[in-house]
Amino acid sequence: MRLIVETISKFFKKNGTRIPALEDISFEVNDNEFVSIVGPSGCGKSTLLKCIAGLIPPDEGVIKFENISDKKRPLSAIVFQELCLFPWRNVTKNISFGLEELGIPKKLRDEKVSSFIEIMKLKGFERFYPMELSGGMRQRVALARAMVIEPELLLMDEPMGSLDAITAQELQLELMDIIAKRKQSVLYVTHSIPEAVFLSDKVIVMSQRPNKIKAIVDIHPPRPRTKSFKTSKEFVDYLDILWGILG
Amino acid sequence: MGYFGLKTNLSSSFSISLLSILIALLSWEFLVRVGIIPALFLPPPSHVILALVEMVYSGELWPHLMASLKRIALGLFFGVSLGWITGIFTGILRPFESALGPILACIYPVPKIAILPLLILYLGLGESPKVCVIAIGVFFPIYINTKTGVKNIDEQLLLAARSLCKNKLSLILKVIIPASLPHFLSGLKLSTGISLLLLVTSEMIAANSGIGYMILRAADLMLTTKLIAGIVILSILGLIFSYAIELMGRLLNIK
Repeated sequence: MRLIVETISKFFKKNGTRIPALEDISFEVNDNEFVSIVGPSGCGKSTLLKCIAGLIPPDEGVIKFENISDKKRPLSAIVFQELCLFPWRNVTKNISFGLEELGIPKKLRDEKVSSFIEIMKLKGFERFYPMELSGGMRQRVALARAMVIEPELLLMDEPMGSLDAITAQELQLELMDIIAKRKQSVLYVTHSIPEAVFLSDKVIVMSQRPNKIKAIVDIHPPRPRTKSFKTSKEFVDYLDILWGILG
Repeated sequence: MGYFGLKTNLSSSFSISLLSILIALLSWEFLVRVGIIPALFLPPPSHVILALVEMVYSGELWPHLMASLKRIALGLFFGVSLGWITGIFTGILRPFESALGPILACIYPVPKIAILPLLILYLGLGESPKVCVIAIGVFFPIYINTKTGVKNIDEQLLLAARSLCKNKLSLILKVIIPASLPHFLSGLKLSTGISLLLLVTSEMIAANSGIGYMILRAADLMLTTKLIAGIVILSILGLIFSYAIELMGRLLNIK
């Protein structure tokens, strides 16, 4: 798989004037690559993600997926920051939603769902409803629901944004391993620079007004990385570079 | 633990409610028996209960009750299903709302019973004008609430659902309808109240059967016991409706 984003622009109309939300955005995500987009709020990073998910069309430019081996495989699935689980479905049913829509037979569906319940450490909570779960647990369900359909590209919009620091840290480490193990390609939006450096192969830095790409920085150490990377000199150097770019 | 740290649990709050009803009934009985309130104007609860039992055994109640239930059931069925479908579609489709919204907004403030004479002119004196007026009356709260429910679905939830579900119909059936159900149910709660109101009024205006007709005839004959028995039946019907809706909400896991 390879995602190619070519000179995308998106405008919002407000009181007759066109406000650019994205200007001339170009980048690529390759197979088994973890790419993060960082930038201040209002820089258009969430809008960009929605365009790539096919939820809103860009006004200019092209978004295309190349080298698709399995035509039946969905191109993308998205995970948001806020609670976007179905409150009327329990954990199992929430996770299986996307599979139902793909017309996967019940037996295979159950197998896939239970394997993800295992992976996301949700065992024992199968029959719980979202309201009955903690924030961290809900986000685990949301991740499982998106990953279980095995999308070519997993899109995440600040999935740790509403979690406390301890829970976020724990989930980050797990995410690192799961993504690396499954060779899942990811496009990840965050406003946390340390999170972006820790998780990604490539960090796209966006500026606000104009909402453009300022720089793309490669993070070289191979994934999966361990906690110790976060306290290394290398990590701090990367942070310095990124902070420097953001000004 | 409730407010003020008072210990309350379900069974104790139930017994408090039961006790308060009992006290109200006993003081009513007492005030009439002592003669503070004349029994002709307000018969004691014991007489009302006796009258009810008698009406059940003599078979006098059934035809009226059945006639009323049939009207309400049909009226609710047509009004709720039409209101629901209209609500869903106006909630989803902007042009649909632009087309229907203003017309419905014009009819909405009209007291629905004012339409009854017109319906009688069109449909005659049979069952249809009564069913129709109930259906029109319950249509509005269902339509308005369902539309609000559809429009208030969390945007993120809808986006997440759309990313997993490319089929529009299945999005409506599996996401939009369940997500708008809590609003639909509160509309349904309003509807049952309205349906009882319209039932009784239309039966008082143009009918020779039904609980409303029974109450009016009892009043003409100064049979206050029977009149109040009729009101008690309406109260019981209302309670059954709201309990049924609450149960529905619980079965559908709506909190």
